[in-house]
Amino acid sequence: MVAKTIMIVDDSQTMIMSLKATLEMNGFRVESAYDGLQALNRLKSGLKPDLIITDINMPNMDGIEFIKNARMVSGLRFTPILALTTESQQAKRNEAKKAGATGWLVKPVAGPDLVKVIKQVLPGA
Amino acid sequence: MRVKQGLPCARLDNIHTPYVKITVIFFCAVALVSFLAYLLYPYLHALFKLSHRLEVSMVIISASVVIFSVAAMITKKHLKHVFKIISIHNQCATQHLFIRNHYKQTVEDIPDYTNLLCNQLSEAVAQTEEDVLNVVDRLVNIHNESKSQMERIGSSTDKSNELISTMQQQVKQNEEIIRVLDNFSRVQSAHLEDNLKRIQQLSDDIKQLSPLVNIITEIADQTNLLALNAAIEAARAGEAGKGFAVVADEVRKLSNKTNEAAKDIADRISKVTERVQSEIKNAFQVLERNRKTNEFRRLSDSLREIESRFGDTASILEEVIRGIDEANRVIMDEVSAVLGEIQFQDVLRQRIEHVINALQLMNNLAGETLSWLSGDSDAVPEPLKSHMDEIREKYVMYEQRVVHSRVTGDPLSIQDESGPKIELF
Repeated sequence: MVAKTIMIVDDSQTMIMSLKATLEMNGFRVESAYDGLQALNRLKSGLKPDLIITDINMPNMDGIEFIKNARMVSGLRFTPILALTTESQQAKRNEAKKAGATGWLVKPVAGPDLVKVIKQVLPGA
Repeated sequence: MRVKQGLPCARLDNIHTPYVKITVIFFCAVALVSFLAYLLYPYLHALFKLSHRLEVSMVIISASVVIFSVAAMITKKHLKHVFKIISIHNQCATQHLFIRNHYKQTVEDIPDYTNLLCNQLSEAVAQTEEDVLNVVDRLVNIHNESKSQMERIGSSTDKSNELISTMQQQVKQNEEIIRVLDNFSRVQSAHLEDNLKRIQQLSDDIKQLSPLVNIITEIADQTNLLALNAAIEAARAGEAGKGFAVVADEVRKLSNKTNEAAKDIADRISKVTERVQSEIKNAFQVLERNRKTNEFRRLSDSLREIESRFGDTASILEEVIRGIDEANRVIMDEVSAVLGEIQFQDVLRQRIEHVINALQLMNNLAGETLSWLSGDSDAVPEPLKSHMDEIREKYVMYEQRVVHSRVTGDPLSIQDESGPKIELF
């Protein structure tokens, strides 16, 4: 079975490394970007991840803006996008939902919980 | 210069009332005189021949000075207060200059101070990030080691199971071989017994040959006797019986030899039958012993015992392997959980960065205050407290809002409430 690819978008090196380790341990391939803009450019240049995990508060392009733009990239309309952030306000959640996010997770999220959510939104994972 | 007994301007409050009283008295006096001048103008005009307003004013001012002088004499004590106030005001001006300079210096130092704090905090964040990344690397190593161990254990378990299975097959094969050998042994024993019985029969038959040897001996004895008689008869016949005497002698010799041969045969038969009997007896004893001990059964039992011990050892080994396997799984789960917990560094970083931003806000305010104090800007800086709302707006975490609410006493709003930790839309 071909490993599913997950893209992590976060300005924190700690987040990228800890998520990368957790996901690779569970048999996923991991791609990463340090902000929304960099991630969007990679998606536009042909990267087609099976799932995207994005932070919300980031420099250059924030998570909500990134989700909105990513949904417009061809082939990513139905790709699950999870927001993983320290932000807890309902208003922000609603914004993300409106922008096209699939789910909202508040940091820190334990590895097994994250994998459980991924398996819920990514059939066949 | 440090003020030890409080600021002199503070003492102004105590002498505020006489100062006002004097002023009020003076102005009342002037007003009263002016009013009187106005009322008494026709009389004043008639009396002093004053035809011009200036003259009236001069009169009023003169009267005022006279009244003020009288009032000053009356309120001499209070005038001392006035001079004291002027002196205190001068001191206050000096104090205010000192305070302003001191405050200006303090405000001027704020950026250096906050920069120092910001740098310390940034450095601490960078340090925690570096340390946390090292921890992640180590956790990945632990996970990889655990995974390799599990693979090794998986391979060992397979080998162990294969070994057990081979051993069980081997034991079954051995039991089959032993069973076949046992049967073979039984058949062979039966055959041997038959053979021994036949040999016994043969031995008995041979034994029965002994009487026949006696017959030969008897015949030889009688032949010897006949030969003796023939020799006597030949001697009696004289010359004519000489030839017959030779024959009789040969017959006697032959009978003697026959007799010896018969004895020899009898001895040999006796020896053979004795040896055969002895061998048969030994063979029967061995046969009987073999039947009683049944070596093959013992061998089979030993093999079964070995198999049982091997099975016990294998199950203990299997239990140990299962325990290690389970421990490895727990380690891997824990590693996975710790990798999640490590995200605290990002949470901490954001909270510290928020504090750094707030300190920089204070920095800007210090700059604005300094330029206002230096007279470079007319814009009065907003009070620091008004910036606290700005800080509040920038919070991203529920915990930050809770701390803010606890410190400032502002209640948490409904928007501040934290939703579920994991929510799928």
